[in-house]
Amino acid sequence: MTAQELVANAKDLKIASQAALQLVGLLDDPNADNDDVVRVLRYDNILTAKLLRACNSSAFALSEPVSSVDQAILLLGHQQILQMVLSLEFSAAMTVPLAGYATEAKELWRHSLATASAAELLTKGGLNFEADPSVAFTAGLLHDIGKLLMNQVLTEDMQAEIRGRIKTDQLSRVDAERAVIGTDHAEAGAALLETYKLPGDIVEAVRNHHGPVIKPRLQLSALIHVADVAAHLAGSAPGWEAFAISVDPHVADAFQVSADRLQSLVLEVRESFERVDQLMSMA
Amino acid sequence: MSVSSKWVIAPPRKTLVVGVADMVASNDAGAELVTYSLGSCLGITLYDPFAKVGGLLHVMLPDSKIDSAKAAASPAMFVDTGVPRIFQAVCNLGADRRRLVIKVAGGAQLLDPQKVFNIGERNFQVFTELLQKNGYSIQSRDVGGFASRTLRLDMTNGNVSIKSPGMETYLI
Ligand SMILES: [Fe+2]
Ligand SMILES: [Fe+2]
Repeated sequence: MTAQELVANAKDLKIASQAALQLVGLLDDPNADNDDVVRVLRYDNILTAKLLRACNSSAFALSEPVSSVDQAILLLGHQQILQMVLSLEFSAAMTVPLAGYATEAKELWRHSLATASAAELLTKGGLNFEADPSVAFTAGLLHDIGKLLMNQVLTEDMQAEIRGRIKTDQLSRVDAERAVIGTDHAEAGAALLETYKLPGDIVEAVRNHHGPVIKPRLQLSALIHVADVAAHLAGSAPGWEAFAISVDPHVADAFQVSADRLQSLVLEVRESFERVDQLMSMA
Repeated sequence: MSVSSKWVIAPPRKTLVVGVADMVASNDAGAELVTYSLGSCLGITLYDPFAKVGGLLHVMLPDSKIDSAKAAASPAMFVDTGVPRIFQAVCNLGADRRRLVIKVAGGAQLLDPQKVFNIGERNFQVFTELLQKNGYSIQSRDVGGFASRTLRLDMTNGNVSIKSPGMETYLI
Protein backbone atom coordinates (compact mmCIF):
# COMPACT_ATOMS: atom_id res chain seq x y z
CA MET A 1 0.00 0.00 0.00
CA THR A 2 1.32 3.49 -0.78
CA ALA A 3 0.87 6.49 1.49
CA GLN A 4 -1.47 8.03 -1.08
CA GLU A 5 -3.63 4.90 -1.13
CA LEU A 6 -3.77 5.02 2.62
CA VAL A 7 -5.00 8.62 2.51
CA ALA A 8 -7.56 7.76 -0.16
CA ASN A 9 -8.89 4.90 1.97
CA ALA A 10 -9.47 7.23 4.90
CA LYS A 11 -10.95 10.10 3.03
CA ASP A 12 -13.61 11.09 5.50
CA LEU A 13 -11.00 11.68 8.17
CA LYS A 14 -11.47 15.34 9.09
CA ILE A 15 -8.57 16.63 11.11
CA ALA A 16 -9.36 20.31 11.35
CA SER A 17 -11.57 23.14 10.19
CA GLN A 18 -10.88 25.21 7.11
CA ALA A 19 -9.91 28.12 9.35
CA ALA A 20 -7.20 26.13 11.10
CA LEU A 21 -5.74 24.91 7.81
CA GLN A 22 -5.68 28.48 6.52
CA LEU A 23 -3.82 29.57 9.64
CA VAL A 24 -1.17 26.88 9.11
CA GLY A 25 -0.84 28.27 5.58
CA LEU A 26 -0.23 31.74 7.03
CA LEU A 27 2.80 30.40 8.91
CA ASP A 28 4.55 30.14 5.58
CA ASP A 29 3.71 33.65 4.46
CA PRO A 30 6.40 36.19 5.39
CA ASN A 31 3.96 39.05 4.81
CA ALA A 32 1.23 37.70 7.06
CA ASP A 33 0.42 39.90 10.03
CA ASN A 34 -2.07 40.25 12.85
CA ASP A 35 -4.81 41.38 10.49
CA ASP A 36 -4.61 38.18 8.49
CA VAL A 37 -5.03 36.07 11.60
CA VAL A 38 -8.01 38.17 12.68
CA ARG A 39 -9.54 37.91 9.22
CA VAL A 40 -9.40 34.11 9.22
CA LEU A 41 -10.78 33.76 12.74
CA ARG A 42 -13.62 36.20 12.18
CA TYR A 43 -15.44 33.63 10.06
CA ASP A 44 -15.23 30.86 12.60
CA ASN A 45 -17.20 31.87 15.64
CA ILE A 46 -16.93 28.56 17.47
CA LEU A 47 -13.16 28.72 17.25
CA THR A 48 -13.20 32.36 18.34
CA ALA A 49 -15.30 31.50 21.37
CA LYS A 50 -12.94 28.67 22.34
CA LEU A 51 -9.96 30.97 21.92
CA LEU A 52 -11.41 33.71 24.11
CA ARG A 53 -12.27 31.19 26.79
CA ALA A 54 -8.67 29.97 26.81
CA CYS A 55 -7.32 33.54 26.92
CA ASN A 56 -9.49 34.30 29.91
CA SER A 57 -8.41 31.20 31.80
CA SER A 58 -6.26 31.60 34.85
CA ALA A 59 -3.21 30.34 32.95
CA PHE A 60 -2.63 33.79 31.50
CA ALA A 61 -3.71 35.83 34.51
CA LEU A 62 -4.50 38.84 32.35
CA SER A 63 -5.56 41.94 34.26
CA GLU A 64 -8.53 42.67 32.00
CA PRO A 65 -11.02 40.30 30.41
CA VAL A 66 -10.40 39.61 26.71
CA SER A 67 -13.47 40.04 24.58
CA SER A 68 -12.25 40.08 20.99
CA VAL A 69 -9.69 38.41 18.77
CA ASP A 70 -8.02 41.76 18.05
CA GLN A 71 -7.59 42.40 21.75
CA ALA A 72 -6.30 38.87 22.35
CA ILE A 73 -3.64 39.33 19.69
CA LEU A 74 -2.60 42.70 21.10
CA LEU A 75 -2.22 41.25 24.58
CA LEU A 76 -0.62 37.89 23.78
CA GLY A 77 0.97 38.36 20.37
CA HIS A 78 -0.06 36.58 17.22
CA GLN A 79 2.46 33.73 17.65
CA GLN A 80 0.87 32.72 20.94
CA ILE A 81 -2.63 33.07 19.50
CA LEU A 82 -1.75 30.98 16.47
CA GLN A 83 -0.40 28.20 18.65
CA MET A 84 -3.45 28.26 20.87
CA VAL A 85 -5.83 28.14 17.93
CA LEU A 86 -4.01 25.24 16.30
CA SER A 87 -3.85 23.36 19.57
CA LEU A 88 -7.55 23.88 20.18
CA GLU A 89 -8.40 22.79 16.66
CA PHE A 90 -6.30 19.68 16.37
CA SER A 91 -7.07 18.44 19.85
CA ALA A 92 -10.51 17.15 18.83
CA ALA A 93 -9.15 15.10 15.93
CA MET A 94 -6.26 13.74 17.93
CA THR A 95 -8.07 12.99 21.16
CA VAL A 96 -9.21 9.55 20.06
CA PRO A 97 -8.26 6.11 21.28
CA LEU A 98 -6.03 4.27 18.78
CA ALA A 99 -6.85 0.63 19.32
CA GLY A 100 -4.09 -0.61 17.03
CA TYR A 101 -1.49 1.31 18.96
CA ALA A 102 -3.01 0.53 22.36
CA THR A 103 -3.12 4.26 22.89
CA GLU A 104 -5.70 5.84 25.12
CA ALA A 105 -7.71 8.80 23.88
CA LYS A 106 -5.59 11.55 25.31
CA GLU A 107 -2.17 10.03 24.83
CA LEU A 108 -1.53 10.82 21.17
CA TRP A 109 -2.69 14.35 21.81
CA ARG A 110 -0.47 14.80 24.86
CA HIS A 111 2.49 13.37 22.94
CA SER A 112 1.80 15.77 20.07
CA LEU A 113 1.72 18.72 22.47
CA ALA A 114 4.88 17.54 24.20
CA THR A 115 6.68 17.27 20.87
CA ALA A 116 5.34 20.66 19.77
CA SER A 117 6.56 22.41 22.89
CA ALA A 118 9.90 20.60 22.65
CA ALA A 119 10.26 21.72 19.03
CA GLU A 120 9.48 25.31 19.90
CA LEU A 121 11.95 25.18 22.77
CA LEU A 122 14.65 23.80 20.49
CA THR A 123 14.38 26.81 18.19
CA LYS A 124 15.41 28.90 21.19
CA GLY A 125 17.70 26.32 22.71
CA GLY A 126 21.08 27.34 21.38
CA LEU A 127 21.13 24.49 18.86
CA ASN A 128 22.77 25.51 15.63
CA PHE A 129 19.58 25.59 13.63
CA GLU A 130 17.30 28.48 12.79
CA ALA A 131 13.57 27.91 12.50
CA ASP A 132 10.45 29.91 13.08
CA PRO A 133 9.13 28.87 16.52
CA SER A 134 5.50 28.67 15.35
CA VAL A 135 6.39 26.56 12.35
CA ALA A 136 8.39 24.21 14.58
CA PHE A 137 5.51 24.06 17.08
CA THR A 138 3.02 23.22 14.34
CA ALA A 139 5.23 20.56 12.79
CA GLY A 140 5.61 18.99 16.23
CA LEU A 141 1.86 19.08 16.74
CA LEU A 142 1.24 17.26 13.46
CA HIS A 143 4.24 14.90 13.26
CA ASP A 144 2.38 11.70 14.21
CA ILE A 145 -0.90 12.55 12.48
CA GLY A 146 -0.32 9.57 10.18
CA LYS A 147 -1.08 7.31 13.14
CA LEU A 148 -4.72 8.43 12.85
CA LEU A 149 -4.74 7.20 9.27
CA MET A 150 -3.02 3.92 10.08
CA ASN A 151 -5.44 3.33 12.89
CA GLN A 152 -8.41 3.85 10.59
CA VAL A 153 -7.22 1.86 7.60
CA LEU A 154 -5.11 -1.00 8.97
CA THR A 155 -6.77 -4.25 9.97
CA GLU A 156 -6.15 -5.81 13.36
CA ASP A 157 -4.09 -8.52 11.70
CA MET A 158 -1.81 -5.97 10.08
CA GLN A 159 -1.33 -4.18 13.39
CA ALA A 160 -0.55 -7.47 15.10
CA GLU A 161 1.99 -8.31 12.40
CA ILE A 162 3.68 -4.92 12.75
CA ARG A 163 3.89 -5.47 16.45
CA GLY A 164 5.30 -8.94 15.97
CA ARG A 165 8.06 -7.63 13.71
CA ILE A 166 9.07 -5.03 16.31
CA LYS A 167 9.33 -7.68 18.99
CA THR A 168 10.98 -10.52 17.11
CA ASP A 169 13.26 -8.53 14.80
CA GLN A 170 13.93 -5.54 17.09
CA LEU A 171 12.78 -3.23 14.31
CA SER A 172 11.80 0.37 14.84
CA ARG A 173 8.09 0.97 14.43
CA VAL A 174 8.43 2.72 11.06
CA ASP A 175 10.64 -0.06 9.71
CA ALA A 176 8.09 -2.63 10.84
CA GLU A 177 5.26 -0.61 9.30
CA ARG A 178 7.13 -0.45 5.98
CA ALA A 179 7.94 -4.16 6.08
CA VAL A 180 4.30 -5.11 6.61
CA ILE A 181 2.29 -2.60 4.58
CA GLY A 182 4.82 -0.84 2.35
CA THR A 183 4.53 2.61 3.89
CA ASP A 184 4.71 4.15 7.37
CA HIS A 185 2.88 6.67 9.56
CA ALA A 186 5.34 9.45 8.69
CA GLU A 187 4.83 9.05 4.92
CA ALA A 188 1.10 8.72 5.39
CA GLY A 189 0.90 11.84 7.56
CA ALA A 190 2.87 13.85 5.02
CA ALA A 191 0.64 12.62 2.19
CA LEU A 192 -2.42 13.70 4.15
CA LEU A 193 -1.02 17.17 4.86
CA GLU A 194 -0.11 17.51 1.18
CA THR A 195 -3.75 17.10 0.28
CA TYR A 196 -4.45 20.02 2.61
CA LYS A 197 -1.76 22.05 0.82
CA LEU A 198 0.12 22.81 4.03
CA PRO A 199 3.52 24.56 3.81
CA GLY A 200 6.32 22.46 2.36
CA ASP A 201 8.64 22.62 5.37
CA ILE A 202 5.92 21.26 7.66
CA VAL A 203 5.21 18.42 5.22
CA GLU A 204 8.96 17.69 5.03
CA ALA A 205 9.26 17.59 8.80
CA VAL A 206 6.34 15.17 9.14
CA ARG A 207 7.57 12.93 6.30
CA ASN A 208 11.13 12.63 7.61
CA HIS A 209 10.70 12.82 11.36
CA HIS A 210 12.03 9.25 11.74
CA GLY A 211 14.68 9.65 9.05
CA PRO A 212 15.81 13.25 9.45
CA VAL A 213 17.49 15.18 6.66
CA ILE A 214 20.84 16.45 7.91
CA LYS A 215 22.88 16.85 4.73
CA PRO A 216 23.59 18.93 2.77
CA ARG A 217 21.70 21.19 5.18
CA LEU A 218 19.73 20.50 8.32
CA GLN A 219 16.01 20.47 7.66
CA LEU A 220 13.08 20.98 10.00
CA SER A 221 12.68 17.17 10.13
CA ALA A 222 15.93 16.97 12.13
CA LEU A 223 14.59 19.36 14.73
CA ILE A 224 11.30 17.43 14.98
CA HIS A 225 13.26 14.16 15.24
CA VAL A 226 15.09 15.46 18.32
CA ALA A 227 11.88 16.99 19.72
CA ASP A 228 10.11 13.62 19.38
CA VAL A 229 12.97 11.82 21.15
CA ALA A 230 13.05 14.48 23.88
CA ALA A 231 9.28 14.11 24.36
CA HIS A 232 9.74 10.35 24.81
CA LEU A 233 12.49 10.89 27.36
CA ALA A 234 10.46 13.54 29.17
CA GLY A 235 7.70 11.04 29.85
CA SER A 236 5.41 11.21 26.83
CA ALA A 237 5.66 7.94 24.93
CA PRO A 238 2.22 6.63 23.98
CA GLY A 239 1.17 3.15 22.98
CA TRP A 240 2.77 -0.29 22.89
CA GLU A 241 6.51 -0.67 22.30
CA ALA A 242 6.61 3.11 22.46
CA PHE A 243 10.41 3.28 22.52
CA ALA A 244 10.82 1.37 19.27
CA ILE A 245 12.12 4.44 17.51
CA SER A 246 15.60 4.83 16.06
CA VAL A 247 17.71 7.81 16.95
CA ASP A 248 19.57 9.05 13.89
CA PRO A 249 23.31 8.42 14.45
CA HIS A 250 24.31 11.86 13.14
CA VAL A 251 21.71 14.04 14.80
CA ALA A 252 23.52 14.51 18.10
CA ASP A 253 26.63 15.79 16.32
CA ALA A 254 24.65 17.93 13.93
CA PHE A 255 22.96 19.73 16.83
CA GLN A 256 25.96 19.37 19.13
CA VAL A 257 23.91 17.63 21.80
CA SER A 258 26.06 16.10 24.54
CA ALA A 259 24.75 13.69 27.17
CA ASP A 260 24.60 16.53 29.72
CA ARG A 261 22.93 18.94 27.33
CA LEU A 262 20.36 16.25 26.59
CA GLN A 263 19.49 15.93 30.27
CA SER A 264 18.88 19.65 30.67
CA LEU A 265 16.89 19.63 27.46
CA VAL A 266 14.67 16.85 28.76
CA LEU A 267 14.17 18.83 31.95
CA GLU A 268 13.17 21.94 30.01
CA VAL A 269 10.85 19.94 27.76
CA ARG A 270 9.16 18.45 30.80
CA GLU A 271 8.52 21.89 32.26
CA SER A 272 7.23 23.52 29.10
CA PHE A 273 5.08 20.49 28.36
CA GLU A 274 3.52 20.66 31.82
CA ARG A 275 2.64 24.31 31.22
CA VAL A 276 1.04 23.60 27.85
CA ASP A 277 -0.77 20.56 29.19
CA GLN A 278 -2.25 22.62 32.00
CA LEU A 279 -3.33 25.32 29.59
CA MET A 280 -4.95 22.86 27.21
CA SER A 281 -6.80 20.96 29.87
CA MET A 282 -8.63 24.16 30.69
CA ALA A 283 -9.51 25.10 27.15
CA MET B 1 -19.75 -10.08 68.35
CA SER B 2 -19.02 -12.02 65.21
CA VAL B 3 -20.35 -11.02 61.85
CA SER B 4 -21.11 -13.45 59.07
CA SER B 5 -18.38 -13.03 56.54
CA LYS B 6 -20.74 -12.41 53.67
CA TRP B 7 -21.75 -9.16 55.32
CA VAL B 8 -18.26 -7.84 55.70
CA ILE B 9 -17.69 -5.20 53.08
CA ALA B 10 -14.09 -4.50 52.25
CA PRO B 11 -13.22 -0.86 52.68
CA PRO B 12 -12.45 0.89 49.40
CA ARG B 13 -8.83 0.55 48.47
CA LYS B 14 -6.90 3.75 48.72
CA THR B 15 -4.86 4.49 45.62
CA LEU B 16 -1.98 6.89 45.95
CA VAL B 17 -0.74 8.19 42.60
CA VAL B 18 2.93 9.03 42.26
CA GLY B 19 3.65 11.53 39.48
CA VAL B 20 6.84 12.05 37.53
CA ALA B 21 9.63 13.32 39.80
CA ASP B 22 7.55 12.43 42.80
CA MET B 23 7.56 9.90 45.63
CA VAL B 24 5.18 8.52 48.23
CA ALA B 25 5.94 6.56 51.39
CA SER B 26 3.11 4.89 53.26
CA ASN B 27 2.34 2.71 56.26
CA ASP B 28 -1.25 2.09 55.17
CA ALA B 29 -1.44 -1.64 54.50
CA GLY B 30 -4.75 -1.16 52.67
CA ALA B 31 -3.29 1.21 50.13
CA GLU B 32 -1.90 0.79 46.67
CA LEU B 33 0.83 3.02 45.26
CA VAL B 34 0.76 3.51 41.51
CA THR B 35 2.80 5.35 38.93
CA TYR B 36 1.84 5.65 35.26
CA SER B 37 3.76 5.55 31.99
CA LEU B 38 7.29 4.84 33.06
CA GLY B 39 9.31 5.17 29.87
CA SER B 40 13.01 5.78 30.31
CA CYS B 41 12.16 6.83 33.88
CA LEU B 42 12.61 4.38 36.75
CA GLY B 43 9.95 3.32 39.21
CA ILE B 44 11.64 2.17 42.41
CA THR B 45 9.78 0.40 45.20
CA LEU B 46 10.90 -0.31 48.75
CA TYR B 47 8.90 -2.54 51.07
CA ASP B 48 9.35 -3.84 54.58
CA PRO B 49 7.10 -6.94 54.76
CA PHE B 50 7.24 -7.06 58.54
CA ALA B 51 6.29 -3.46 59.26
CA LYS B 52 4.13 -3.24 56.10
CA VAL B 53 5.74 0.07 55.25
CA GLY B 54 6.67 0.89 51.70
CA GLY B 55 7.41 3.57 49.20
CA LEU B 56 7.46 4.35 45.50
CA LEU B 57 9.77 6.77 43.71
CA HIS B 58 9.47 7.88 40.06
CA VAL B 59 12.75 9.41 38.87
CA MET B 60 13.36 10.84 35.41
CA LEU B 61 17.07 11.61 35.08
CA PRO B 62 20.28 10.04 36.41
CA ASP B 63 22.32 12.92 37.66
CA SER B 64 21.35 16.02 39.68
CA LYS B 65 24.59 17.81 38.82
CA ILE B 66 23.06 19.19 35.63
CA ASP B 67 20.72 21.47 37.60
CA SER B 68 21.31 21.85 41.32
CA ALA B 69 18.50 24.38 41.76
CA LYS B 70 16.04 21.94 40.23
CA ALA B 71 17.44 19.14 42.37
CA ALA B 72 16.90 21.21 45.51
CA ALA B 73 13.32 22.01 44.51
CA SER B 74 12.39 18.49 43.41
CA PRO B 75 14.95 15.91 44.52
CA ALA B 76 12.73 13.08 43.24
CA MET B 77 13.54 14.19 39.69
CA PHE B 78 17.00 12.58 39.85
CA VAL B 79 18.25 9.12 40.78
CA ASP B 80 21.14 10.36 42.92
CA THR B 81 19.00 12.74 45.01
CA GLY B 82 15.71 10.81 44.96
CA VAL B 83 16.92 7.41 46.16
CA PRO B 84 18.33 8.60 49.52
CA ARG B 85 15.05 10.47 50.16
CA ILE B 86 12.78 7.49 49.61
CA PHE B 87 14.97 5.33 51.89
CA GLN B 88 14.76 8.05 54.52
CA ALA B 89 11.00 8.44 54.09
CA VAL B 90 10.16 4.76 54.57
CA CYS B 91 12.49 4.49 57.54
CA ASN B 92 10.81 7.50 59.11
CA LEU B 93 7.54 5.53 58.91
CA GLY B 94 9.06 2.59 60.75
CA ALA B 95 10.62 0.42 58.05
CA ASP B 96 13.87 -1.35 58.92
CA ARG B 97 16.62 -0.82 56.34
CA ARG B 98 17.80 -4.43 56.69
CA ARG B 99 14.39 -5.81 55.76
CA LEU B 100 13.72 -3.62 52.73
CA VAL B 101 12.77 -5.46 49.54
CA ILE B 102 13.90 -3.40 46.57
CA LYS B 103 12.31 -3.66 43.13
CA VAL B 104 12.72 -1.54 40.04
CA ALA B 105 11.02 -1.17 36.64
CA GLY B 106 11.26 1.14 33.64
CA GLY B 107 14.41 2.36 31.95
CA ALA B 108 13.06 1.80 28.44
CA GLN B 109 15.59 2.24 25.66
CA LEU B 110 15.37 3.88 22.26
CA LEU B 111 17.24 2.31 19.34
CA ASP B 112 20.30 4.49 19.77
CA PRO B 113 23.63 3.06 18.60
CA GLN B 114 25.51 6.27 19.56
CA LYS B 115 24.19 6.01 23.12
CA VAL B 116 23.85 9.74 23.56
CA PHE B 117 20.13 9.39 24.19
CA ASN B 118 20.32 6.33 26.47
CA ILE B 119 18.90 8.01 29.57
CA GLY B 120 17.00 4.84 30.52
CA GLU B 121 20.19 2.79 30.71
CA ARG B 122 22.04 5.48 32.64
CA ASN B 123 19.21 5.82 35.14
CA PHE B 124 19.52 2.13 35.93
CA GLN B 125 23.30 2.24 36.03
CA VAL B 126 23.41 5.12 38.50
CA PHE B 127 20.77 3.37 40.61
CA THR B 128 22.65 0.06 40.83
CA GLU B 129 25.93 1.82 41.64
CA LEU B 130 24.25 3.76 44.41
CA LEU B 131 22.76 0.59 45.91
CA GLN B 132 26.04 -1.31 45.67
CA LYS B 133 27.92 1.46 47.43
CA ASN B 134 25.48 1.23 50.31
CA GLY B 135 25.33 -2.54 50.49
CA TYR B 136 21.84 -3.13 49.09
CA SER B 137 20.75 -5.42 46.32
CA ILE B 138 17.77 -5.51 43.99
CA GLN B 139 15.31 -8.33 44.56
CA SER B 140 13.70 -8.10 41.13
CA ARG B 141 13.74 -5.86 38.10
CA ASP B 142 11.91 -5.32 34.84
CA VAL B 143 14.17 -2.88 33.08
CA GLY B 144 14.90 -1.89 29.47
CA GLY B 145 13.04 -2.86 26.31
CA PHE B 146 10.72 -0.69 24.25
CA ALA B 147 7.63 -0.73 26.46
CA SER B 148 6.32 1.98 28.71
CA ARG B 149 5.03 0.60 31.99
CA THR B 150 2.51 1.30 34.72
CA LEU B 151 3.70 0.05 38.11
CA ARG B 152 1.63 -0.78 41.19
CA LEU B 153 2.85 -1.58 44.68
CA ASP B 154 0.32 -3.48 46.80
CA MET B 155 0.92 -2.40 50.38
CA THR B 156 -0.75 -5.48 51.91
CA ASN B 157 1.95 -7.85 50.66
CA GLY B 158 4.56 -5.86 48.76
CA ASN B 159 3.56 -7.30 45.39
CA VAL B 160 4.71 -5.19 42.46
CA SER B 161 2.74 -5.52 39.23
CA ILE B 162 3.52 -4.14 35.80
CA LYS B 163 1.12 -3.30 32.98
CA SER B 164 2.22 -2.21 29.53
CA PRO B 165 -0.15 -1.04 26.78
CA GLY B 166 -1.57 -4.03 24.93
CA MET B 167 -0.09 -6.54 27.39
CA GLU B 168 -1.34 -8.60 30.31
CA THR B 169 -0.42 -7.54 33.83
CA TYR B 170 2.45 -9.46 35.44
CA LEU B 171 4.20 -9.52 38.80
CA ILE B 172 7.89 -8.88 39.24
FE1 LIG C 1 6.35 9.11 14.64
FE1 LIG D 1 6.14 10.86 17.93
